[in-house]
Amino acid sequence: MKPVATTGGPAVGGGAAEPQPTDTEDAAWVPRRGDGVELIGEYDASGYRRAPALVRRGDGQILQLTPVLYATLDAIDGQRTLGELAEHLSATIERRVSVENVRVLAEEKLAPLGVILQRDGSEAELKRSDPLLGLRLRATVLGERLANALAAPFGFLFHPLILLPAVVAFFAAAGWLLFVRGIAGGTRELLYSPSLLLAVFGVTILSAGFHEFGHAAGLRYSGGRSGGMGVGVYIVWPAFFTDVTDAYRLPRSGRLRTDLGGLYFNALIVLATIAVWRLTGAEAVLVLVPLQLLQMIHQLLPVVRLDGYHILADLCGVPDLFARIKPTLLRLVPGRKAGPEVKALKPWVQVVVTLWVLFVVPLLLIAVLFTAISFPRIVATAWDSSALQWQGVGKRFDNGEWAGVVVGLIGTAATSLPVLGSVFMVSRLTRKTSRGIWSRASAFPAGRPLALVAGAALVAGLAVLWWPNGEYRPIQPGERGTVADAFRTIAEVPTGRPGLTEERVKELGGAPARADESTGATVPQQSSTTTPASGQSPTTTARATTRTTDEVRATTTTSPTSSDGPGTGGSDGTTP
Amino acid sequence: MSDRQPELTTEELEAESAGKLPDRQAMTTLGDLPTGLLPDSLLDLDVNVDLDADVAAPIDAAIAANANVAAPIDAAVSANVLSPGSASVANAVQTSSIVQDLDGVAEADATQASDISQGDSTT
Repeated sequence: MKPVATTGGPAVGGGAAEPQPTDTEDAAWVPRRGDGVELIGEYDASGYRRAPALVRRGDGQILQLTPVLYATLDAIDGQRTLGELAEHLSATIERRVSVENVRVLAEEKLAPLGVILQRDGSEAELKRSDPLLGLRLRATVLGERLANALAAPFGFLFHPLILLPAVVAFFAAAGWLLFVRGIAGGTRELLYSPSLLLAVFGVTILSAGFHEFGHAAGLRYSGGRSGGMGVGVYIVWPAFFTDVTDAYRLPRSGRLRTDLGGLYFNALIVLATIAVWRLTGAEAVLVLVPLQLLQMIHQLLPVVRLDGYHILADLCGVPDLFARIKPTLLRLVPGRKAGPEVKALKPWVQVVVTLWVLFVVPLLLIAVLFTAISFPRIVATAWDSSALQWQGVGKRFDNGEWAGVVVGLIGTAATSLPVLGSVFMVSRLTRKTSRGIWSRASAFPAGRPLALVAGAALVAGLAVLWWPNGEYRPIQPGERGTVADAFRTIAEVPTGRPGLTEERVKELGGAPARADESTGATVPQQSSTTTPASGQSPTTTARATTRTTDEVRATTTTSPTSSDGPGTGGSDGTTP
Repeated sequence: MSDRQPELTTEELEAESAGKLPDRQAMTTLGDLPTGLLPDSLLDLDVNVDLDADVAAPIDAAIAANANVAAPIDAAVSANVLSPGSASVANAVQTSSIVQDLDGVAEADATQASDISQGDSTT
């Protein structure tokens, strides 16, 4: 940006030696908006004392502006000079606005945002919002036109005469099914049939897609226009997404309809599932109901950017809750006064946002800490589980069980992706944080050395936690993983293997990998003794001799010590 | 009118600000797929447990194994515990092939006992 001296504020750009524009030049400057800038208007039902207004930049970035800044941008029409803008604004906002005021607003506030051109006619470098907990690796599957065309036919489902009975029926049917009838029969039927299991997977994935159409249809019904739909990775999970950025400009009812549209479509799937069961009597389909309900509950968590987060944000009238975390935390520091970003919110909204921050921040920090501690166990478990799934795929492939093959492949992917996602997330988090700290550290004399020390300490800490030390063993069936267990692991950090100490390994019988058990690759010795009820205690001696490749022989001799008479030793030989 | 109004102060100007809002994406994560229902173990579903209807066979997990020796778990167990003078035969066809580089012999002993009720006589 061109360095400019100001009379009403600090100089920007540090260019005191540069020739400065005179007051006359200021007054004659005709600011112009950037290409494609769209003024959306006031943010409805805002949680701010003075409702902000929204602007969409040419690159699609939505910006939230305070009222005077928005009024200034609104007045900039490419015709008025700064002098004329000052007069116009004075009349609009009913405050006396000087030419210098307008220059500050235009040149120092609006131009850097890219919504107006800089004085030399160039555009500021545009950067889009890139939240840390945002969707990554996005791939649009349905473009904007196609997504809207496909979502439009579902709009009628939001008509109150359909929506209200459907919601009532959903609660009644789901309650009856879960609390009165139960689904045990369906679960049993499902587990004995890989084909049905595959069908449940398919419907679950389709329902996730249908959920997305619920958002798009809710947005359309409310007067907005959906962006593209596609797939990506959210934190560590694969995810479907619908771009509903246009919902920002809707009244609160429209925003909430967009937020809840996905859950509403889940409810419709529940109703359809129950209808199919009533018509066909197929018990297995009922398993879909709790799966849908779990998905809905998961979506309602306001911790990360799922539906619950957007619902809370829209109820409060604060469009980006995550951006409130820093000012809210700073305000909580003893002796510090609330900053302007906090004071800008209505009092009741400040309370809600503070409670949300106090809930979310510790939760996320604890999640990160315990993920770091248990990472070796998670990796080992995912590896073991993927290996098991993969073995199953091979076996079913040989047997021509194609449904089982697909289920196994899904299982392999489902168990591998979270770990791959974790690695991706951690690397991104590290990269972004270290860059941010490095650039900010330069502002302090000892900033960068301190940053280096902190970075080295972090790397050392992770090395201690993650260095293979015998803790890369899968999570065992008996392990509960309670919060108390998690906190106990902190005390074990000095051992270098807090996720699985040596004592714990013994308690867990060696914490064996199930994939190894199934192939017999590395199976720890086990012995079991039970009290005989009949007074008989046969002794089994197993002797396994392995020879050359592709040849395995095993002999088993059973020598019962029954007093009833001699037993007959059984033997079985197996050949590949 | 505006002449009577106070001019915007420096503080008020500084308070004028803008912020970028993130793209609003409604998401459904697939992390809650019913993976718990997956048949995740060969032991659960695919082990060929060949037990005669009338032969109760306590399966002992004592497996002879060197650390690097692959020892297939063969669940075909022939047991003749409560039928004196009788013989039982269990046969399991095993189709797995194991590639291994080491020769080794390992022994494991396990004591086992079971309380078994049988309805029919065996031959």
